[in-house]
Amino acid sequence: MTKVLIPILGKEVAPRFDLALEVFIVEFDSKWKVVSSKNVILPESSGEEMCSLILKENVDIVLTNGIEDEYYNYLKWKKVKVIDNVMDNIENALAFLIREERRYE
Amino acid sequence: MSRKTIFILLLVLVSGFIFLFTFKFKKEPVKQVEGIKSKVSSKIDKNTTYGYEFSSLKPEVSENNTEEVVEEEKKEEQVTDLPPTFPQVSFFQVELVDRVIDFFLKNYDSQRDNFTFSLKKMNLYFGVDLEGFTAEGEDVQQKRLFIFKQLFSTSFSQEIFPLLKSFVLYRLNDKLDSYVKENNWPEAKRKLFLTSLQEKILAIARELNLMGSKTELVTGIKDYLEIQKSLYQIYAKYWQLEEKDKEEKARLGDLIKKTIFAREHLQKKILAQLKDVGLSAEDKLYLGLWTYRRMEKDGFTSVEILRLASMLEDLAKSLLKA
Repeated sequence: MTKVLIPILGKEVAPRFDLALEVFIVEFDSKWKVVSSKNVILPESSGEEMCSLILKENVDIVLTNGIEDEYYNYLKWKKVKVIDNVMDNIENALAFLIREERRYE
Repeated sequence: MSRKTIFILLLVLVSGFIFLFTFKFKKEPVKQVEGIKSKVSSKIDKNTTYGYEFSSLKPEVSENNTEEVVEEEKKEEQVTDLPPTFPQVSFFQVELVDRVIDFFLKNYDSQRDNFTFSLKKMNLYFGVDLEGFTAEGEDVQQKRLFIFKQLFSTSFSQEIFPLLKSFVLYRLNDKLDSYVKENNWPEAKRKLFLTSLQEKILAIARELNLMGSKTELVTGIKDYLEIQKSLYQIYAKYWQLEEKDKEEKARLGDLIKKTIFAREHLQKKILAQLKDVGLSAEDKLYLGLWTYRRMEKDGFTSVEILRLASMLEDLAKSLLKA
């Protein structure tokens, strides 16, 4: 099982990790089929709170656009894979992720 | 022989005995006096021990005393060598002390003799997952509030902090010794590390002191936060606009510029009030916002902020003794 989190703004990947007020969390099985998905609204935008949510939800991969070095390094230290500079809508971003992940299987 | 002759002979014998006894009795005191005289009048030879033979007694006495003193010193050393006990507190564990010290060592640039971490990074490493803390509460927010309540309490500053300080200094000393050996640091480098750490903690304490005593600074931070929030909202609207909404995009773009200008202006005012703190501009703002959140959101008073500052000052001043 692989859990992916995307900070979002509407239907797009949010331009900034620490300014996002909503996240999309999706869980895939070993064949990259969607098992479950949910949207979480955050009480306020905060990079720390986002990191906290990522750890609490045991997220494996974060797909994001702009992210500060400190959050990026922190998540890497916590063994969370971070793919940054993703500028697209959620569907395309996930399609890209699945394609990339399958290449290394 | 006549009776007269016998009497004379007896008299001679008796007087002879008396003479002999008298001579023997008188001769010895004369010798003693001569002996004393010769010792007093002769030159003092520094290689000779006069009077009592102290050489046989003195070392025995002094050795016994030295042994006792050494034993007492050893006992004292043993007492001071004993690791300070970790305070029995409910909201953090002993591992946290080591984690914090490791964090400082890892984020120290020994070439430039300064720390490379920001306070935001430090908060991320210790405040997000709360590893090393034992906190009551259902979610992270509640747990954090529990920790802050313990940290700001008078019982912490009066009872736990003195014990914790000794323990922290002991562990810091220990870890720093190993680090100095591993990295072949000269002794001066060790001192520079401690001085840098002392300055960093003192700088944090200085800003907390200002935040706890200057109400205009708190108001400034509050306004800064309001502007920042409204900027996020404008950005959120702006990013969702389509290409065709040119007019609205231009209007919001203008508003973003104005809001950023207002934020920068306020930021300069805040930083001017914190000019003597000794932290980077980013850290000053971050700590200001952190303190404001503790006061505004968590309901702690300026007295509690000042108490935390005083504990940090105390710790910083003890660092160079480590």
